[in-house]
Amino acid sequence: MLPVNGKRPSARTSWAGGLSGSRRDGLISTLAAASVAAHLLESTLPGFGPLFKLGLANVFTLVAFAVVGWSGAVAVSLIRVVAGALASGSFLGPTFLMSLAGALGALLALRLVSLAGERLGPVGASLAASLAHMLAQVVMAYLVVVGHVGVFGLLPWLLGMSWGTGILNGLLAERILATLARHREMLEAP
Amino acid sequence: MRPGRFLRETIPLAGAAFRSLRGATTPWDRWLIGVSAIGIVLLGYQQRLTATPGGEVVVLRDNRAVRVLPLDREAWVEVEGKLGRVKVETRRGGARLLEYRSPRLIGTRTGWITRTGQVAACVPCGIMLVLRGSPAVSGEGISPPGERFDALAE
Amino acid sequence: MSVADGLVRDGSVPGDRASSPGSAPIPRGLRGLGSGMGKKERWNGRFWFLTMLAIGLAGGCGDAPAPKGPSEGHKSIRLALGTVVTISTWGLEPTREEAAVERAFAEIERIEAMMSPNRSESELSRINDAPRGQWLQASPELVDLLGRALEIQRLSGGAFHPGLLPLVRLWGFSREPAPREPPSPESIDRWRRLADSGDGILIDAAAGRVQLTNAAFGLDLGAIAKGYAIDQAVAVLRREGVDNAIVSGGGDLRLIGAKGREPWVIGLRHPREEGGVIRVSRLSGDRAMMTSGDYERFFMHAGVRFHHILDPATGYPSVSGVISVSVQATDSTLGDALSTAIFVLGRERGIRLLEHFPGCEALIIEEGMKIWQSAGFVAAPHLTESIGVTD
Repeated sequence: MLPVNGKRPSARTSWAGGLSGSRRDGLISTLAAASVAAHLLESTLPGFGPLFKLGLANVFTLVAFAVVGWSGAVAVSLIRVVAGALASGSFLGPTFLMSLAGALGALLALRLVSLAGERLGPVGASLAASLAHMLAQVVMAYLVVVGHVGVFGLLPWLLGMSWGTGILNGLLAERILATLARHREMLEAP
Repeated sequence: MRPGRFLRETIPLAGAAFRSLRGATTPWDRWLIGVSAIGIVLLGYQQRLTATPGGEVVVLRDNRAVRVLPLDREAWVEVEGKLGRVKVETRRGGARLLEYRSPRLIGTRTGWITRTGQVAACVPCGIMLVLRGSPAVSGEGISPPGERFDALAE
Repeated sequence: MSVADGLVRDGSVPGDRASSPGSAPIPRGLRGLGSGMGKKERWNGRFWFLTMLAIGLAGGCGDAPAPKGPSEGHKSIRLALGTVVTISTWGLEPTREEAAVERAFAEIERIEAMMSPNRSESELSRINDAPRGQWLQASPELVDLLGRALEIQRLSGGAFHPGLLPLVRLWGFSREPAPREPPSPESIDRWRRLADSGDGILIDAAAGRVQLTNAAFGLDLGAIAKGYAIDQAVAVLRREGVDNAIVSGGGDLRLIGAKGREPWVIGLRHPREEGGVIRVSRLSGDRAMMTSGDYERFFMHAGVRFHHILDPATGYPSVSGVISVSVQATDSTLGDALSTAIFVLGRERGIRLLEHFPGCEALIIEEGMKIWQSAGFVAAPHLTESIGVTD
């Protein structure tokens, strides 16, 4: 069933089952590739300055989460972290650890979101993931890099920014999902 | 732009943005948005409350500490410098050499100093203020916030 | 008391060593204060890197090189050379750093005691106070430095001049209280006529002698001695085994080494925006960066900015159109003199002077914020961000 939220089709985990195995794998690879590309593109963009990253790569994790389910999000997100780190040469360094911690935190949040059934849409899922992402990164930073509780003083600021980017990415994901849902037959055709 | 026109143009825009946000979210989404926003604000507020400016300003004369003043209140003291008395003023979280506008204070970084490690000096008076943070605010072993440069060329 | 002690090492406060950071058991509440900051500041280079990183990662992606290895830094601040002198070191044990920095400051104070024209007992004042026209014995160090100064004076066509003490006194930029208006045109004319009447400074390097020949001139090494003091302080640090450090005297600096794998990050002050930074230089190895600007010491009179960099040819503050010059050089002494010379010469002639000094690079800012920089000048643009002054 294609869930409908108000007038628009919205993203739920429920049409994951509609995809055949190979279709699903194809979609995941496509999303992972797009995610790595967004990640690399964003790391080269000077536009937002050093203070601010949108995290567009996470949009594709959200799409996978909505279409395939939590396992899809895990696949896309971990591929993104590893491939992104390999491509930019930060594999297994502190940056990688931070990145991994953020991804795991976000995935944990998404697991909780999926337990809540269909009550949360892509925006809610994105927000939860984004906040958890930041929280996990700060904890990892405390453990690995800084070793000082002072870092938690920044938490309100950092979470505030995550809040904004989380909602923004959620809206983006929602648009993508709405478009995908209109062309659902492409995904589900044998 | 006149305010009337500004409002006429922005209110429908904001309305449209709100409607599109509404359309794209479930009630639980909106609940999460609201609750997390409140949570973040409360967290920030709570930190502001607990992180009372426990820093202090050290007043040095000829590179020797002569006074240490806490930065948790508004107060001032006068310190005898080489050119007479210099007034040091403190407020919550900051300090300054009060006569900092005076042409006497040449070649100095002046004004309110508010961050650990910042310096205000009256070079000819031989008086220098150095701010020290508290563990609550900046923490031991942590660089002053905003100090993104190891040195300033000027 | 113990709170202040982290700051003072010279024994002026009783028991300061006993309670200096990390040695004696200090109550927890005071511990952070005692070692948090003061004359001895400890900062952690990782922290701000991390903050930027964390914010950069706010959306979950972003890559930046991560710092590795020991990262403890120290910063010591003192008033010296008529300004705020800061010595930052990186990656040293506190006890070693303390001893090394102490010696470096002692060296700076030794040079100031020798070369300050404002201290009546300095060697420089002894020469200035002697009658004109007679040879005076001077320490080899002073004769050497004077020799370098005269060489740069010659190459700059007199734009840099180490003998302007009477003119500087006439303008009174280091007087207290600072001047609010220029001296009378007659007094400057008088100085100029006297200055034109004959050469100023002679040295006899072999015999270690100096002679002043003209009452218009007296030694003021203000535009070179600061650089020399910084160079000497760096040499002391090196002898003490310090490989990574910045010695900065009021924004003129020389750096050695780096912060582990990260270069030192130097912000270049915006000449017109209080607290603004116009360029960021990431430097490592061994480099001096010396800056002369019309914003350092000046007063406004009748809408005109009278700054402290005087043109020996006119007797007035230089009007070359340049408002700020930064020179990156192999040593601070040369960089100091060159930045002043280029400031006075102006852009075109300044660039020609620069060609005499391979390894020296310059960034010149002219009125209207026109910026020129030589090919090898290390600087990246910087969005003007507020630093320092808050209110």
